[in-house]
Amino acid sequence: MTLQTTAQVANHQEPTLERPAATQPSKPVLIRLEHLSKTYAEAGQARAVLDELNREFYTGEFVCLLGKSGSGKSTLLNLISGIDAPSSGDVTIYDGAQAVTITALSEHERTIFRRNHIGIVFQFFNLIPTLTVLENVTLPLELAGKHQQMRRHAVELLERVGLADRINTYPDKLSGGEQQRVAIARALAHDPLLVLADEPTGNLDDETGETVLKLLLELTRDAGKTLFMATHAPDVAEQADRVLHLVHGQLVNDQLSTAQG
Amino acid sequence: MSIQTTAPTSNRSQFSVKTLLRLAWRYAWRRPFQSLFFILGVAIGVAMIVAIDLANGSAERAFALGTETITGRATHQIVGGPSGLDEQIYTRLRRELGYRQSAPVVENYVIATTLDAQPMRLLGIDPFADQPFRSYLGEGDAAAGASATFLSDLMVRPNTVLLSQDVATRYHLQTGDQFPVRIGSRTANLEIVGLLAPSDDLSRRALQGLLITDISTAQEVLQQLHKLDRIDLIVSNDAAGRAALAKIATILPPGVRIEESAARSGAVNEMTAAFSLNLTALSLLALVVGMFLIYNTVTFSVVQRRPVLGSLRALGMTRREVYVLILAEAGLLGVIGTALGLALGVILGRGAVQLVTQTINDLFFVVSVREIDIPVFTLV
Ligand SMILES: Nc1ncnc2c1ncn2[C@@H]1O[C@H](COP(=O)(O)OP(=O)(O)OP(=O)(O)O)[C@@H](O)[C@H]1O
Ligand SMILES: [Mg+2]
Repeated sequence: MTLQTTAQVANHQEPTLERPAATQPSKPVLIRLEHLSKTYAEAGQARAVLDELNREFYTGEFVCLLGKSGSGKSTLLNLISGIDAPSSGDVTIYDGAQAVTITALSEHERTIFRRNHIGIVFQFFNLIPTLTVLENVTLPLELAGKHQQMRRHAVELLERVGLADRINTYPDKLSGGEQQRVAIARALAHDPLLVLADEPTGNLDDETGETVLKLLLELTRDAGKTLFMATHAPDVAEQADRVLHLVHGQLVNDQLSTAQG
Repeated sequence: MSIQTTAPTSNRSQFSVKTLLRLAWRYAWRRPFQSLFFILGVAIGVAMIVAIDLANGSAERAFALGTETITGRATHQIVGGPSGLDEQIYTRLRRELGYRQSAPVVENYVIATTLDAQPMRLLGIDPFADQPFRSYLGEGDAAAGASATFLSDLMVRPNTVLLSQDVATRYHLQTGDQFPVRIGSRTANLEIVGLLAPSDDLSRRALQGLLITDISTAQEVLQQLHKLDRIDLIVSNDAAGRAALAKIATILPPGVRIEESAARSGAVNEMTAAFSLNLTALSLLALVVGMFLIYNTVTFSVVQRRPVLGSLRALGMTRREVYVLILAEAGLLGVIGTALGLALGVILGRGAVQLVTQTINDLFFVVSVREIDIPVFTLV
């Protein structure tokens, strides 16, 4: 109980802590959350899962989002990816100089934006079972209309995740870790602005999880992509540029990352 | 929105139908059991609709055929009460009025014991007077020469009948053979003096349930001596015709009246309407059940892969594209299922036609529409 109250106190001061960071020229803003709220009606009562979030995230940053089950991590990720729409507030994504307020877009436009600019890694891999490993990786490219050298690019990525010899295999023949590696390749295939990962290691044993995580970090870092990861595993946080806790619908800075600035 | 202008590649939202089709095809191919289930579901649904439709179509044609056979080309009929007409009326009609466009008819159902005990209509006619009324006695075609000889046989020799060539072939009967028929509790032996094989299909079918005999034979076999069931008339639809009708009316005894054939066939229609209605209801039911089956199959195939469709949506496939994907696959398998269903429906329909015809045989007419041919319009 006492822990939570201190957390909330920290959270109230959060906007003042956050502003100076945004002005740093070395870190262009990629995602901006403004008054972002998500409420669900439950038995006639509104329940705020996300409550007035204001944040900025930067290009190339690895943000780790921690929180208890049901705290709203997936909800936040779904708002950023445009899979879901908020109750109020905005999510703006900066594509170079161009600001796209995705919360102002229609569902169809959000979908188009997502397939062109966002890569997602899921907890349960979510590979398309009827497509081969290679086809799973080329699918986002096809969706984004990037047909040139599609296959070569996909094979390269699969080489990076160490699955070059499995390109014609179907997902059900792969282990969980291998499937997640394919999913990582898939998330990066169409050169997205950011990669969202929702508990990517949640369904893997520790060792496999570590390997997968390492790959995910490596690939996103090398490509200079922003990685936004929701996870239960606190040890992941050690490698993150910034760690945020989702508590009672509020984003709370981790002591460590706040210190880093 | 600004999306379009920020595109790193120009054709970003152009996700080809080819890719969708490949996805759909892949899905069907990699999930053979589900695809099979889908195909079967559609096939059974289609088969059901087609089968009942075919049966219905055949039944309707059976009714039409039966009606035509009963009334022939007559425009009017002289009919009496339940005990029939005195044959004197016919004699007077011919002799006193000289009205030649008339033909006497004696008819009833008999059971052809050795012909699978099927009920057949024994139709007693005056072969010469009858020719304008019923086409299948063969007018002007190649059989005319031959028919002249068996028509005289028919009139001269007692207990002789004409039989359809088809029936004769089916039961290995030939001219000169005899076979028994049952009329109530009595039996009579009939001899075949001729086989009728009209060239047109309808008449041939109409003939299959018929035993054509001379009027006197019919009277004897049916024990209706000096009685007719009706007299068919062909009356032109003008002043002369109306005058003729008026004149005929004057010689008719009380209780005997002239009816329009339409009225007669109207009565037949009424009789068959109930059956027809039942069949229509049945076919609607089949349609509903068939549709339900197809709908369920499609729904099931969507529901059980909701997770994958969800993944595709998360990867950025639009609602419309997912919709097209489902439709493409349903279309792909649906076409196969439909083709299969049509074939299956024809086979089932054959069985259903048999059952329906049997019922019609027992209840209303003795018509044989045993083999179905598929009218194209029932399939489209
Ligand atoms: N469609 C919905 N309708 C009502 N409530 C919902 C809906 N979706 C999510 N919630 C609620 O929102 C809250 C946050 O859910 P969310 O899935 O974001 O949590 P999470 O932090 O991702 O949890 P986990 O770690 O278990 O994945 C939960 O209490 C959940 O019950
Ligand atoms: Mg979650």
